[in-house]
Amino acid sequence: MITKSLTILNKLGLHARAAAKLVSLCNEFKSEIILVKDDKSADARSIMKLLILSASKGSVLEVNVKGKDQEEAMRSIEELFLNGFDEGL
Amino acid sequence: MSLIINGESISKGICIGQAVHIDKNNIDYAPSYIKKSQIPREIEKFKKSLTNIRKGYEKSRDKVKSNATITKLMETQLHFIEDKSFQASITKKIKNNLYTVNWSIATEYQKIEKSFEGIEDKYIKERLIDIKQMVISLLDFLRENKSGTNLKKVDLRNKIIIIDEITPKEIIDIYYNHASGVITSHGSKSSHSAILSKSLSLPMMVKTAASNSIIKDNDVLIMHSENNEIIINPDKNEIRYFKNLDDKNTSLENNLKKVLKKKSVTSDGKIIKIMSNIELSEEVKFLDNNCDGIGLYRTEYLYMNRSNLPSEEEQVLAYKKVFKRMIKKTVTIRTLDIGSDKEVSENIKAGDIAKNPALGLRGIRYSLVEKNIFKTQIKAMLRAGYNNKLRILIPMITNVNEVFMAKEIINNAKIELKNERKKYTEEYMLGVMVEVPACALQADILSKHIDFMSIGTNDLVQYTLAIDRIDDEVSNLYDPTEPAVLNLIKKVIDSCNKAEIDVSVCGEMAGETFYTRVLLGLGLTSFSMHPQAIPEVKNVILNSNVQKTRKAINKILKCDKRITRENLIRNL
Repeated sequence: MITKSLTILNKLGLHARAAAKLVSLCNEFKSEIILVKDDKSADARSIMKLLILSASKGSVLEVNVKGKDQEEAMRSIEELFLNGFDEGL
Repeated sequence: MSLIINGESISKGICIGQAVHIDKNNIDYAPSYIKKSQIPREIEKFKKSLTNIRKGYEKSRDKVKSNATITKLMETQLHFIEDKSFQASITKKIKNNLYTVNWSIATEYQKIEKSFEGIEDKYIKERLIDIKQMVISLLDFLRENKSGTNLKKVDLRNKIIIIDEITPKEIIDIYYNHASGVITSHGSKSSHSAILSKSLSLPMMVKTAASNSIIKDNDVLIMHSENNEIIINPDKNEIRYFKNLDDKNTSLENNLKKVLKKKSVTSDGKIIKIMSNIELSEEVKFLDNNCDGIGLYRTEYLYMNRSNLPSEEEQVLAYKKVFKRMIKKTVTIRTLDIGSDKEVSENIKAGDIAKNPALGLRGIRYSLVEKNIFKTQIKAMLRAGYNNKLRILIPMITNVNEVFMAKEIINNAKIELKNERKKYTEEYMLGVMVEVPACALQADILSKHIDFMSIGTNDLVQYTLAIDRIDDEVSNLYDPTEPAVLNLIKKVIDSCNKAEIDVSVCGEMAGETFYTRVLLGLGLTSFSMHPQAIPEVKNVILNSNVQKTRKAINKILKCDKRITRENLIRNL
């Protein structure tokens, strides 16, 4: 398993559309992907769980990826975070 | 003994009917179990409901394929329905706890709702509504009662609707189902639902905080608007008394109707134009022929209550319907003004819900982003305006540049119509709606580039005073007679008079007799209001002396104290 702390950069935070994007991305991989914020954790493939994390701009999320394609999955997720989910920063 | 509760009346007169509660948030939390042998069937039912709702979402997504923002919005909805962890929780509840699928969904929703309570980000928190919508759709399907709380299919004759809050779409639904009236525990007098119900003469009372818990289904109610009262289960004498009063009101109304036949001239001989505001092309049927045309035709309702956009042809038909009734009279059609408190089909939204919609992408701002929607509408207007007196009104203009950009799209629309060999008018007038203070301050410059102005006082007041007219906490501070507001209105009227272009007021101010003489005093000669207000306002106009009001207005423009100001106005 690999773990990385990633920051939400886009203005609107991890809102519905950004979360949907993350779900779609994670569906391309086989690894188990879990996001942790404070005392809450969420399966990155569940849009509802992601929203409940309530991650607004500036929040730091701990991303845990475990599986055969974990390296590649983590790289893609990190890229999406850095791009601010392709939205306004 | 009957019980009386208070609210704020939108309409006039008396309305008697039977209460019916409409609970929009219809989730049934009553426990229900299955036998072990029924597990596979129950899971099958769940899968079927998911497939059904997904298909519905996909259908609406595909209908609007050309619009990327809408497609994205629907994709997000699809993610909710495909949420694996949601599905797993439901299946687990069916298998392990032997809950029915309905109860599994209800309890899972309860859990999600609880988790959302802790969310601080308002923007994310609002998405619970989407999840709730999905859950309600699922449960409706499972109940094999696909209509759910669809107001469209219920007969509401002699019924008074009791509801938390009502959308314009729902007003239309209950109106077409012959409801007698509507009572909302929240809401506001200047919401679009209220404006709509007013123009449809549908009795409505808002802010009746206790209505939901005190009034029971089938209670007999009397809505007494003059006193802002609702009488619950009145006795025989009360019913008789109010029926009598109702008859008297009707005869009074008939007297006022006589005013309509008179020429609209003040006591000192000034001619005042009185026009109607309409929301639906159907409304024009009820219009008295004595008004001087349509001063504001809001077109939002063409776009509501549906999942696709109205085509050019469909719009041409709707606009022509209005022209047909208004022969030789001016019809002012406002281009689409969505956003803020106007709920348009969620498929026609530019992006996600804005944090502050009143200051967001609405009016011309939206039209300049969604240029094709705007162009289609302009083409329809120009076609319907052929051989008619068309005025095109653009909402939410902030600066001159927006006028230039709008003109460019209008020119493109004309070129397209020419190439398509369609008949259209070249002799239309183009005007802007003055709602943003910036626009009012620039009125003298703007007046050189357009043919008329229409002052939308509701928004102009709210933007000038920074008061959200729907916010119960501050709505009492919403006062159109604040000197700052009146001075802005005066500036606009003066600029238009100087440039010799037409100017009218089409906001609520124009339709309330309290302000009639204030507006006359500011130099206004053209009013546009909801048709129901015309008799009373016209009555005041006929009995006003413009010279006198003009002299008296300066004192009001300088008066800072609200009570004193209001007394001065009453004495105008």
